[in-house]
Amino acid sequence: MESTKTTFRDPITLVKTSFNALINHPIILFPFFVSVFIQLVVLEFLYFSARFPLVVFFGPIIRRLWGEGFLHYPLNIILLPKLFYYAQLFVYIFIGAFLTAVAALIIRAINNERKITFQEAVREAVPYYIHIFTASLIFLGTLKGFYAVYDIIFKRALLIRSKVGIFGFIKAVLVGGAPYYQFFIAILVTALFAFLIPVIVIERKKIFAALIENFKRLQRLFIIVFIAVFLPMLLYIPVLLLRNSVSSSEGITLPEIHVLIVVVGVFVTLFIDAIALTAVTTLYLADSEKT
Amino acid sequence: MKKFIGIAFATLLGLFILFSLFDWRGNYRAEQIIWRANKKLSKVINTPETTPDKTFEDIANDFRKAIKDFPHYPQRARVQIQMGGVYMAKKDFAKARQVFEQVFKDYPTNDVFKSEALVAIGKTYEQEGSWLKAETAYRKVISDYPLTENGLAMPLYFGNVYKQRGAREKANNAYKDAAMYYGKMAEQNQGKPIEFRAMQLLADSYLALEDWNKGVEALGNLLLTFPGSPAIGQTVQAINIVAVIQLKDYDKAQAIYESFMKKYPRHPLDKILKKVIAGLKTLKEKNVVINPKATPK
Repeated sequence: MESTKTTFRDPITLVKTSFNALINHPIILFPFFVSVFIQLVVLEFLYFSARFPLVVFFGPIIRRLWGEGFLHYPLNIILLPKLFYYAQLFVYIFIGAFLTAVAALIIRAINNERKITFQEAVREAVPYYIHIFTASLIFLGTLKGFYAVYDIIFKRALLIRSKVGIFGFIKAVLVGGAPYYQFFIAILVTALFAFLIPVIVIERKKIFAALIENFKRLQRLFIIVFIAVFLPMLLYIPVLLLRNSVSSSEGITLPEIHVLIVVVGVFVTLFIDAIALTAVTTLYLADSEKT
Repeated sequence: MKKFIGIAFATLLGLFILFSLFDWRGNYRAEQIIWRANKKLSKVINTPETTPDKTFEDIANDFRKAIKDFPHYPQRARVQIQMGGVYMAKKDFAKARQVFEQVFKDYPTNDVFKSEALVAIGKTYEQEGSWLKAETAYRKVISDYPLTENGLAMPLYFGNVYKQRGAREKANNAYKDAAMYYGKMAEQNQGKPIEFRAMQLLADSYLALEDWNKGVEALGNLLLTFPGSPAIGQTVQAINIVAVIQLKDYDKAQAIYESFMKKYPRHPLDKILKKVIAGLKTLKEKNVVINPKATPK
């Protein structure tokens, strides 16, 4: 990996370096592949949740929350992305964030030209599990908070009756761009807590000290971090466009296409997360050396 | 990592095969096959002249296979009727009737399925232009299966058919007969689930007759008799539309809602009804009149 003695003033160089690091050191991807595997297992369970024998467990839950219809084809497939979204939150809180921490430790070892295995990195991260778990809750809580604020603005925009003029324009922008605002919020919140997990496992700080350290560094490096997170996230736009185009053409598509889009999304997210984390961790290590 | 990816792939594939095999002859698999057959049918149903016969046969065979491979599927009779629908789409009405008649042999004790098959037979005669034969089939549904949804819906259906054909007098007579029939059915089946449906159809009959006063009264009775109905929102909406637009009588709707709130204090609908009453009062004060023919497109 390129030495962190190089200071990264340019986020594009940072992202390019991170991408090269992933190619030269594929072990960085290992924790992300584990996360993807767990997600796909969960997705499979949810895919078969309307069928025997899993329906014995999932049936009463789905029936109560969404109704009997969603235990039958094809509505169960239409519901699947929503079910998977909730499942992904659980996976992220309990294991996904931890695997991100493991990846950060692997990046640090590579940066120090030290050999490390996945198992060693896991053992190193385990003592900080509770702090990583808390960090994931803080991250998701903040994300939900931002979404809730946007939701209030969105609902208010829906009440605007003007179709022309400044108010009409505001309505068109706020309502029409909903998926993209949510996408932007995700980038913003990811950038806001970019250093949190690396600080916890690399500096071995507890959650609150790590939060303070995260925001301290962010004060100096926010623009670079934001762009370093934003650039790989652009890879998700085709997935968003595909999802939106399938939703608007419900009458002509096979329901299974929703599952395919979810799977594509999982793999695209793997690469986004890997590039973004590598970039942020590399920046963090370079900044630590400098200071 | 390559080893891990290999193991992960094998695990995912193994789980997929295992779960698929568990339910290979289950209802869910039947639903998939039937849905796909219906999807194919929906693409050709409007173009029977240009669709090859083989396409229709292939779709009918898909339904046939579902019936054969899933003998325990609870909706098997409906799949049979859907298969008949394929021949109707092909305009092979004799073959369609053959398929529908099979339901009587396969499900001799199930009145719901038999009523659906009989309605489907009636529809084949209708599409052939033999209204008398269709009417015979529909009247048989009413006499033999009066407590099924189809048996209940038929009297109103007659009125709708005559109205569509422009036979206004015949339609009005049919609606009057339907209203009498539903009134009797509601009275004879008090406390049973069918009472609700009969009262709904009674209201529909009066509205079809454009007897707005009786229509609103019937809707009001429905609301007061069935306060827990899932269709309560639609009932309130219908009362508003008829009272405000057709009758221009805000007091009538208000009286119904006030009776409801008096009869069912602390009902979850009370908050909404209070807002509706306030809205009606405002409309009355401002003397707003909504012309149904002036509705913007």
